[in-house]
Amino acid sequence: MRNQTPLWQSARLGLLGVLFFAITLTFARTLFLTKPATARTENTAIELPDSIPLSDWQATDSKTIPNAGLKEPSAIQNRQYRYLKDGIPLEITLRYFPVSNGDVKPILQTFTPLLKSKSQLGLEVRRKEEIGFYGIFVEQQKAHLTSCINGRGESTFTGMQFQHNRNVHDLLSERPLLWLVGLSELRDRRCLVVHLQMPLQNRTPEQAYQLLEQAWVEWYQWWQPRFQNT
Amino acid sequence: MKLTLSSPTQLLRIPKYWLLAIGAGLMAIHLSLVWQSNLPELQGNCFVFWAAAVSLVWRNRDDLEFKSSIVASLVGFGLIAIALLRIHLLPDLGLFLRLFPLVTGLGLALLASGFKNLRAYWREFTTFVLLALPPTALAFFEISPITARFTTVLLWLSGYEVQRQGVYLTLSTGASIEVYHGCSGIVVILQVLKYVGLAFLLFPSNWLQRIVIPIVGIAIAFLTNAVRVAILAVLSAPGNDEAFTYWHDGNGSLVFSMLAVSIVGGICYYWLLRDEEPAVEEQEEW
Repeated sequence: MRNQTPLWQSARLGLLGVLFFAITLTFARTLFLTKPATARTENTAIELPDSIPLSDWQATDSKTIPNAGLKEPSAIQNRQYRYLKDGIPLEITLRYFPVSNGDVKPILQTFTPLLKSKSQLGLEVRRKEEIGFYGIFVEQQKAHLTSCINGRGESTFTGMQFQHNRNVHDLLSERPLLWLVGLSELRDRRCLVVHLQMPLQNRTPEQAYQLLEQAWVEWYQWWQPRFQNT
Repeated sequence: MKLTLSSPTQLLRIPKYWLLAIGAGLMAIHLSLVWQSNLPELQGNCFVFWAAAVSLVWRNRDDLEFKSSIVASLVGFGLIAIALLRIHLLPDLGLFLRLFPLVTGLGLALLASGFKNLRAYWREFTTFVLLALPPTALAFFEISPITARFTTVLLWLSGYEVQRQGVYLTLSTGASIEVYHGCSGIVVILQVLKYVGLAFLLFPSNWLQRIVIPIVGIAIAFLTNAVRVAILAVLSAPGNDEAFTYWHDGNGSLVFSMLAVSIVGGICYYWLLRDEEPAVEEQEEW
């Protein structure tokens, strides 16, 4: 074989020697650097503005709320916005998760008293073109709509939908290239959980859902481009 | 081997020993990184699958060709170099840790034997592919409703009054659970199938075993998980929070996966190894 010249044999040994040296160094580093630096994206905060315009609705007030049921109350950024239209109050709560599995229901179960009992049987997941998936249900005489705004792709409600977006949208973006050189994580696992609620008063659930959906669509269109670029 | 007469400096001129050292080093790096990660599933599997790969290489050691071309060596060198650099650049320890043995294994095989003889390592590559599969690889199979139904029967048989609506189970004690996707048992099934695959790579098997053992494996994985869900349903009654957390997220949740793998491992041991003993004779060992 033409390759098996003495020169190639020496070069091959050199190559193997260099590699072994590099491996020894890397191994030593894995032993001493026990805690690798956390990836950048995990620590980023997001700006939750004081007021967000919603046509037809009059913004009344917004505030951060305590995170009930968490060991570190400030761990999850949140903000609650209140609106009013024709005497109907609307309350929108945002919770920002820098690293998430995208499963909205357990998040609601943890942060609110909702969806803990049989009411979750009435939970329905719907999808709107260009917007994505969202869950709706009635509990405590209120109509609720909740969903997770993704960095890329439509909104999602279940972990499966979220994972699908990560695989389809993140892996087909510039992220894998950035990941290869260590500038970003492979998947953008940020999730902005939105929870809209309004009292039923004398409306049927379906009428309330329609009002919520209108507000949700506008809310989503305001947030998604901003969220993707942060 | 003629090496017994060589002096130590001459040993350094034999590529085989460098390759051995590189392979051992890569394994040490990977195990060290995995050990520090918080992926209990990967931690357990890594030791077993690396041991399997080492044993497969050892079994074929006399048939391997240690001749490589310049191009193959450079590609192999590049693959391992990228993997090493990646550790220093951004230690995100998810997908990369799963792929590390496969990528560096391919690099090492190219360095050792070149493109032409890659096929000699297919068992090792398959071992690393099995190791790389994440627990959610089969998650697109939605079997929660079947699990819920089966768990209901189990609870009913053990004397509990149980009601089921879709994937929601309610006991007369007031306990109620939802058989969530993560509880559906698909993770345990994949874990068992990985080990079944490994057994087929390591030991000779016939077509009957290749059909029956995976099916039995899936059934056992499903059954053990249903038992776990039944226990969780009983424990979900108020006041059992600590026990529930243990069996749901803690070490208890791994016990059932281990149990399923052990049972299937026992079946493989008795059927693949005992039955085939006369036929194994041409094999070296095992």
